Amino acid sequence: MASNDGTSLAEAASVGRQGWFHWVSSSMAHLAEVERRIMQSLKSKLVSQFVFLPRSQNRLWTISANSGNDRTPLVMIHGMAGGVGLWAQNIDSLCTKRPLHAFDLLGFGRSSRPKFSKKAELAENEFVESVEEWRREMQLDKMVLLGHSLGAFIASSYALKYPERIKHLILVDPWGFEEKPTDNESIPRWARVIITLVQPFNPLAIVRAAGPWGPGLVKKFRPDLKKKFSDLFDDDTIFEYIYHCNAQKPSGETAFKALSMSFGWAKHPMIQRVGQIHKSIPMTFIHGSESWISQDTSYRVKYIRKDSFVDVQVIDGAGHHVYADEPHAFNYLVDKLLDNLDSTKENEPSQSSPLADQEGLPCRKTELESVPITLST
Amino acid sequence: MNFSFSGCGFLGIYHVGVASCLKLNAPELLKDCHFSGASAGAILACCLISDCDLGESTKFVLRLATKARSHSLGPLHPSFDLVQIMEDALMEFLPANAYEIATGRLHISLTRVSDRKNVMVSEFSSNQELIQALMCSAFVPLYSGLVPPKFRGVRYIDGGLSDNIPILNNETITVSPFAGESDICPTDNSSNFIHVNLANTSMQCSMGNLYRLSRALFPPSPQILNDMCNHGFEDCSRYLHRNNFLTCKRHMSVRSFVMPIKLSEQDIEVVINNHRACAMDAESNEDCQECKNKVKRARLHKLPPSVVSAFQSACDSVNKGVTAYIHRHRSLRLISYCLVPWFLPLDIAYNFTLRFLKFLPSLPHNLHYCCREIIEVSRAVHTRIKQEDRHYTARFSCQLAITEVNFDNAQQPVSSLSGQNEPQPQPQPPLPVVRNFNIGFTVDFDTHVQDTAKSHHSEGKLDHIKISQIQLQSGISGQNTLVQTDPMHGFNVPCMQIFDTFDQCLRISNQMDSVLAYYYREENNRPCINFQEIFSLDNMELNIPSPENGLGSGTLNNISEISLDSLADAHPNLATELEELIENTLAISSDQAKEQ
Repeated sequence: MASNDGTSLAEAASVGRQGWFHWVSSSMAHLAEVERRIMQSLKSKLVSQFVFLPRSQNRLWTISANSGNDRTPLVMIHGMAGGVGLWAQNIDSLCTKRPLHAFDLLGFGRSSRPKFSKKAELAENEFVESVEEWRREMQLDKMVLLGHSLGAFIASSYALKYPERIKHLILVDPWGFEEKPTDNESIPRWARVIITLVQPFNPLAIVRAAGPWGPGLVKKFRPDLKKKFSDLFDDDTIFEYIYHCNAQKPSGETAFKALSMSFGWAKHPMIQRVGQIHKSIPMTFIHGSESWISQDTSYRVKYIRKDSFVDVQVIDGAGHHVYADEPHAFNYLVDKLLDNLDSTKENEPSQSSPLADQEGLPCRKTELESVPITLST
Repeated sequence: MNFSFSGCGFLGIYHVGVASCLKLNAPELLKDCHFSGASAGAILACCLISDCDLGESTKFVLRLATKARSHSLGPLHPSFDLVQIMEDALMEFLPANAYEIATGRLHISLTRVSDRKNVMVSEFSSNQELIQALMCSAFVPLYSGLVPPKFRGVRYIDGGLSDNIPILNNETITVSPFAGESDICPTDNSSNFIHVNLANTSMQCSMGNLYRLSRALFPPSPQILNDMCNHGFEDCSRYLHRNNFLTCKRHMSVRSFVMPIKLSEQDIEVVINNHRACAMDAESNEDCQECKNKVKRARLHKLPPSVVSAFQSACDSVNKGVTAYIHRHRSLRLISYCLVPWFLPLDIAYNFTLRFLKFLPSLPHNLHYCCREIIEVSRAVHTRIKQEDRHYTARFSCQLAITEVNFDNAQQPVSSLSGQNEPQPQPQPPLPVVRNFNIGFTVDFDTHVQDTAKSHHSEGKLDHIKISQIQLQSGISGQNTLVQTDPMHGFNVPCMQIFDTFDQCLRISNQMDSVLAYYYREENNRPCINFQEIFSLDNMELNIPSPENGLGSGTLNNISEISLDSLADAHPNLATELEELIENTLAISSDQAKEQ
């Protein structure tokens, strides 16, 4: 697929803005400022730094909290078009008992924005290697890896390659697991023409092309974001954050485009490879009940990985951004899970993993009261 | 538990599928829940709440769709009067007491034309009013007509423009025919992460949604509508199944047994959750055959026969007849297309004449409305362009300067009034002490609204005015040389206490006629009027608070002069009034000034 050749003029302008004319009024400084505002609203003491990756000559913007603690650290990877700021409602309550690290994925947020390969395998590998290099620089031995959406795809790919570094894999509404179905839907020709025309552009090119109207565009089309973060801010901070995250040179976005094919399906769906993930790695899926990501795939993973621990949790009333829609339920769930993890002994076999596996197949445990987490003694 | 149906034009057929599934599989859910909706969703919710025959409503929607498709311009053809057809149909379908059922349970989302804000309506006094509200909610500007309909004298348009899925509380089940993050919605075979959220409706940017959007106002063929209806039915039954709403009556009784135990947690939500948990347990225990059967049956359930037959007849009517025959043959179709440009103008002209004649009686009123609206809009645009944030401020200030002369007990008022001041040098002979009091207050007046002051003037209310500061100043100047020699006895109440309240100042100025009053305009043509009034306090009872030394209230027996000074006012109306007064009083005041 000719992926990146037809980027729009506006995008080209936004990349090469050196002169006096700025079509897109965004920069790293803007982003840093908005992020500072977001982080200010948090109570915990955060250490933020650029972690330099010596081999790839990139740097990843990292936020750490409670790093002095000697429990297994929790590492959070955000999803497509996001950044560390989106964890604002989760960091405070998740970092109390253990160290927590969150970083901007390579090509997103404040991290370096390199030119990714256009081949799906290579782009995926670049992501995975950046995570591994980051881990080495952070001197973490083992970690609990939590990924959302695209982050979950990268996390599972990482687990595939470096299983010895993973203590538990938490996949929040993972993207890229499902295979593209053979569609025989009767889509009219004009719709197909539109799709074909849009195809060569980056997914968020419109936000950049809109230039000065970009922030308004985000606000207009995603008013729900404000509601999601209304506990923390009652102004437009979150819109600004999302805008500045994505208004700059599209790097991670082009990588996502390389990973995916027509309309967001993964070129190499994880479901085909998930069986190769080492048996000893326990997995927990957390879904939002209203999300468009299919839960059925997660149950299929459970079936494929019969010998290992796979748990599927559904949080009621949450959409794709589970952690922001229902932050309390999400934090409670993850916190409980990690608590149990810490209290179990290291050398226990994986089958008797911390979460008691007592779920029937498509039966949902939705309410917090019915979440089947039991403290194993 | 509430249900919220999104507005979606002709895709409302999806809601019909959902509604029939709810009626079939979970009738107990519908009993006392609230419904909300916009446009088509509101109409369907109204039908559901008043227990209309769903087969009939399906038939109606299909008839409407085929009628819209039969014209060469589709639903935009002038002979297709959507509002009128819907109104008639609702009149026919709704039971006579529909408004009673709907009041308090049906919440219709509307968009007010004047400020484009969302308004929720749930009280109806008659069926007419209910239908009018539904019509307002379904009025898509330009598509349904030009002049928006009225509900209780206010013009409203489609509620879907401001809030397409009105959410009443956390326990709201949202139903939307667009794939997205709603509770009951189709699932598209798409993995696109881009989502938009328009008027509260979450939509995935998928091909399916693109198609649906295009079909919301321009209906597809009955076959496709049938598919949509089926999807609605399936999505709903899947939702019910996943959330364990498919339970048999026996389990219901088990639930009510659990209730009193958990009620102690004082939270209704907890109770509900336990209900579900209980039902779920029962299901997983698999000891209730009846329950399992019910789930099995629900999975096998199809659309109710009345709905299916409605679809069948609609499909048949499309496939039969002369027009269908014409459309089947390519050459004839070509001819019919070629003829369209010749017939269409005539057709449009004829229909517009008909419409105009119908419209004629209400023309003046509507024209008036349109003009007013245009003026309103242009004014809004004008102010927007000017970008002037007008700020109206005014300050009313009042100053009272009182001179009191006292011979006896000079120490007492001095110490009581100015504790922190250095003690007064006490002269040996009882010299009279002259005290000057300045009482002043200012009222600040601050507004963005243009005619606040006018409204105060007409209504006589002052509650918007903030009295920001009332300052009382008192100064003592005992060193002043004395003019008066008449000793005054028995009166040592501090002067300040007489006039210490704003009320008292007002009272005096209101009750008494001034001895002297004159007004003058300030120099440089500034819109500022100064006026001076002098009151005589002779023979006037004053409520003088008694100080600690037990002295009773006394009457003033000397002539004090109170001057109300420098009231600056930016009010234009007052200025003109005062100008008249000035002209009248100018002669008198100048005479008196000469005398003085």
